[in-house]
Amino acid sequence: MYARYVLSRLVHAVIAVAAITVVLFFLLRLTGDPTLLIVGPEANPEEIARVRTAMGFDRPLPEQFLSYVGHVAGGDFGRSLRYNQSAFSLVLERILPTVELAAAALLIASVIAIPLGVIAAIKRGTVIDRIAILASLLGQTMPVYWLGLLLIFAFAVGLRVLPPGGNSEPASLILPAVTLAAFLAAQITRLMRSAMLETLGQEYLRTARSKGLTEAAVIRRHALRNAAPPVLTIIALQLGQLIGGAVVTETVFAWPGLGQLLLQAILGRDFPLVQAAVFVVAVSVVAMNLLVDLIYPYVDPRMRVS
Amino acid sequence: MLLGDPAALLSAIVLLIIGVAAVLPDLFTTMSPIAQDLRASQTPPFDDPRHLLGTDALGRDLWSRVVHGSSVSLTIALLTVLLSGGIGTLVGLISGYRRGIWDSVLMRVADIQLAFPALVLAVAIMSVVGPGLGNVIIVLAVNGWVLYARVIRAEVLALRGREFIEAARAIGCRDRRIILRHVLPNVAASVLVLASFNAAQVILAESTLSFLGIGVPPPTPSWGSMISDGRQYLATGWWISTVPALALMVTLLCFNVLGDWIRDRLDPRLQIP
Amino acid sequence: MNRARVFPALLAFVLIAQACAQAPSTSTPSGAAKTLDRVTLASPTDFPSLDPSYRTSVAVAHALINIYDTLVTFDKDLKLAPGLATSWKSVDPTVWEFTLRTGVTFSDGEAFNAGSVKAWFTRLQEIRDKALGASSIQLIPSVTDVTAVNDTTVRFTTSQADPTLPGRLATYFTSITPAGPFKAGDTKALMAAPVGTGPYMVKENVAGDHLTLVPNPKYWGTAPAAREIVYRIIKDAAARAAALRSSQADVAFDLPIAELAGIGGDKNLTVLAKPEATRVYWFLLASAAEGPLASKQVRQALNYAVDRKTIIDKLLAGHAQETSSLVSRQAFGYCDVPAYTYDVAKAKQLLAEGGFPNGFTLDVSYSPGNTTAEEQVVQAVGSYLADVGIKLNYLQKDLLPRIADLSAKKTKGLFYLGQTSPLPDADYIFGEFQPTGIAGWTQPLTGQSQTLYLQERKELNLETRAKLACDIQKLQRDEAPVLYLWQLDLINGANTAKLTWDMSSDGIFRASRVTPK
Repeated sequence: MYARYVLSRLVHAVIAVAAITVVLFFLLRLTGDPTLLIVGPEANPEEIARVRTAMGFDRPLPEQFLSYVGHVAGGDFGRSLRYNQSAFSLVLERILPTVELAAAALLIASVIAIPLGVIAAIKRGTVIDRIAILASLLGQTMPVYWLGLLLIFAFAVGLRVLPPGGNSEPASLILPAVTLAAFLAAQITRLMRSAMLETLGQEYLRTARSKGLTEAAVIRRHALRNAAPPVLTIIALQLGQLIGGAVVTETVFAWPGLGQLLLQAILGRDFPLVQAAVFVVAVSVVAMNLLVDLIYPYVDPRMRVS
Repeated sequence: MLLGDPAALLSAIVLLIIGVAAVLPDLFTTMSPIAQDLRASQTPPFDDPRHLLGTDALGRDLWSRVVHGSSVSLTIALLTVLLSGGIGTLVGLISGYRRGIWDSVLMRVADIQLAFPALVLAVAIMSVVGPGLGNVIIVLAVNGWVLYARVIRAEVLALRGREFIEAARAIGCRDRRIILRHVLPNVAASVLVLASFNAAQVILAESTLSFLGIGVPPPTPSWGSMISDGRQYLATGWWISTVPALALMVTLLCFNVLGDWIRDRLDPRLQIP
Repeated sequence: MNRARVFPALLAFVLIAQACAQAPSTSTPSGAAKTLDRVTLASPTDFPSLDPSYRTSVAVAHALINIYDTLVTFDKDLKLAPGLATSWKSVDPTVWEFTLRTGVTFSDGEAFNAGSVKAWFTRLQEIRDKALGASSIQLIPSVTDVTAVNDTTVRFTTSQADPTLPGRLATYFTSITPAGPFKAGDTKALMAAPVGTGPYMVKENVAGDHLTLVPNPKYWGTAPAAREIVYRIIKDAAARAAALRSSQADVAFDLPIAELAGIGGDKNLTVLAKPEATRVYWFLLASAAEGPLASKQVRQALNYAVDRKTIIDKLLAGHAQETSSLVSRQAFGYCDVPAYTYDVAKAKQLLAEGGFPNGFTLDVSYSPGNTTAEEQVVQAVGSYLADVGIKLNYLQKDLLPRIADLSAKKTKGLFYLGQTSPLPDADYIFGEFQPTGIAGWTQPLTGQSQTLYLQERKELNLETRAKLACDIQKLQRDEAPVLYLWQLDLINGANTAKLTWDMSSDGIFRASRVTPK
């Protein structure tokens, strides 16, 4: 039963990645001609036309597509038009900083938001709860780049205690991670609070209390355990999304991550680089979803395999 | 009932005022949001009685731009939510009710949409269709429908086994009638709750598009482009981006507070990601 | 998990991070000459290719110039000076002869001699003929052949007399490359692994993040002061200013106007501003053949409609000089043509004469964030044009796709451009208005202007050539092929508590001009 479930999820994952690869090809071709990337802005029209022919960008679309599929199926994404290096290895170089940033942000967010959400739920209606709600609302209303700029202004230019960007030293991670964490923390606080509120009202907690367990034990052993799965799911899915989604933060802090590379590549029509980067992002999102799907039956006994 | 919750009541009133400003901006300001006056460039707030909230680098009145910007933000929020909510709800209904091949295909499309980097899609679409308010709405809606589709599908799946649906099928009602008469009313509350949160997300997303240079083109005053344009003047004119940022935050705050209130009333178990 | 445990942990994290942040960046003087351990530059663009034989973005010049040498160089005021060639002369109207420096080797050990120059030229031809990319041969279009007379003498034969050749051989894209790296047939070997005769070599080039240069031990000239140069890629102008202000960078290129007061107020920092000799700003007017822009009166009307002075004062903090010439003030052949004044009545009258009394709508294409206050400048111009009835559709796009559209002749209406000219010579700019140039299809030189240009480009007498160039500028002032704007200052910043950068008027970062404080 579980084996069949795993197999069907795997098939879905592969279909999703394959479909994205195909859709992306045609979407990119709609955006225009990438020849200029190879020749640079100083080229004249005649040179551009010659290089276009030499690179095959004037061949019929189906022909280009078949050659693309053939290469990608063999794991070859081609060379970046801008950097003239293997597109896939350029993407791989960026994965580490991106994961570093995403992990740091998720860590900071979880460390703040999970306790905050739990406490807010337990002390529902008190001042603590109200503060938690307000903080989480503010975190979700602040444009990320605006927050990032304010932090740079305060801590890098004003107080001069932290570097404003780059990743040349360990301290460079702090500002972008905090910026990215703000929105996540708000989201997690909110989810944690409502998940806790729901479990706290359940029958079995009343039973547990009636058995004479202390309130702390009830919360730790029963409420938290039942409220955790949906929150963990969101955190896992966020991690997948963050691999390709921290574009704004990476841009504001000149953080050399995948998001920034992807943004520059798509703005500059560097097709092979976009294709390699989107492939990696799609695989990580799909893999995270798959992971959640596969472990869910274990962490949450209420969820039956369907 | 709204009276019982002061925060929700206040949010509703503020949103109402912003809504009026969006429809009838002339009630709030007589100045043009696009008229430039370079001689009045970067006037600080409360410095010149004609420009109470100051001016931007081009000498445009910030109060007037914020007021007219509310119409852009609310238009984007309203139309995007209608578009993505409509499509997403329809997909969720069909997928959840019909199941089988329809469900498989639609949910695979949703998977693909979720794993496709939103930014790449946005930049690619914008470079194909060109800049413009309408195209910004399309981009945001394309990225937003999955949220509705997934939540509604789950609800429909749960409803499907309920007695009144079974009964309707037993007496030979056609599927379309069952979906419209029996299923839709039962998921409407969730759609409403999703929409109120989604409206806030959409307004925030518009400001991100502006930051990335693919937002609403000038001279239309959108809050997102105002914050984005003003950021390079943080050192000499902090108000240029702070004024629209505050307007944006207040609006989003109200949408969220009101969304929470609606959810608590209608559908307390719904988890908003 | 509770708060009592969480917060000390977080605090410790922040404290450790701070300690790291404050690790001192040392600058230890060693030996007789004072040196700098490391100079960090905040650069808006990255360095995708470091092979000068392919013409890519002009921004790569900041690195090329420190890795390679050219036969001729520019001094601080952009006058010609010896480079790899110690002297040059015209031995025949169509032959230039260069005497080469001896004792020069490339950083990989290959000797530099007349054969190297010959091999370099052959390679430029190959890049063009095999359509491998945009060959730098375009910068020396008149050259038909290069011959080695002996080891230290080389002759360039041109299709017709070319007075600009020595200057053209001083531009960074004509840097001399070695023959060795291409022996294996990899025509793009130098892009990632450059080999030159210049003062520095590449240690590391991480796409989109940083480029690190270290001294070339085989360099023929005086060893430069900086023992390491790091170009950190920071696309956002405000972020570059922040890097300079927080001592993350010692030099920042292209600072935003709004940050100048803050930087000027810091006693360790200095704003380095001077007119950029190699760039003039304007809007190209596409296309000539049809629509309102085909009318000379309409083009003149556009020029009268804009109050450049106020824009310069209010948006550019005075860091620009208005101009109505195609040629920059510091370039050879510039002549002082009367600037268009701000005259709304005249603009309206000209529009009516051109057949558009009620105005019209045009597209305007630009790249926000690409040059100083680009977004604000374009909108301000748009507001002035609206005053005379010309409405603009604003089309924002990244620079490269925008230029691609221009090359593909898909641009309509106004195109905001800071036109660079690596060679500060009127002849180069006129070339851009030829069919092979970037503006060739928008409003090409025609009629009398074109006749004069064909004479100018082969005139060896400096005075006569300057006169011809001046006449073309006067004609083009009235022809109004562009909406003339201004010359903008280069606005860079340096940490002058640590170093001195004696900036040239092309603003290109020559590491040899950096000395420790």
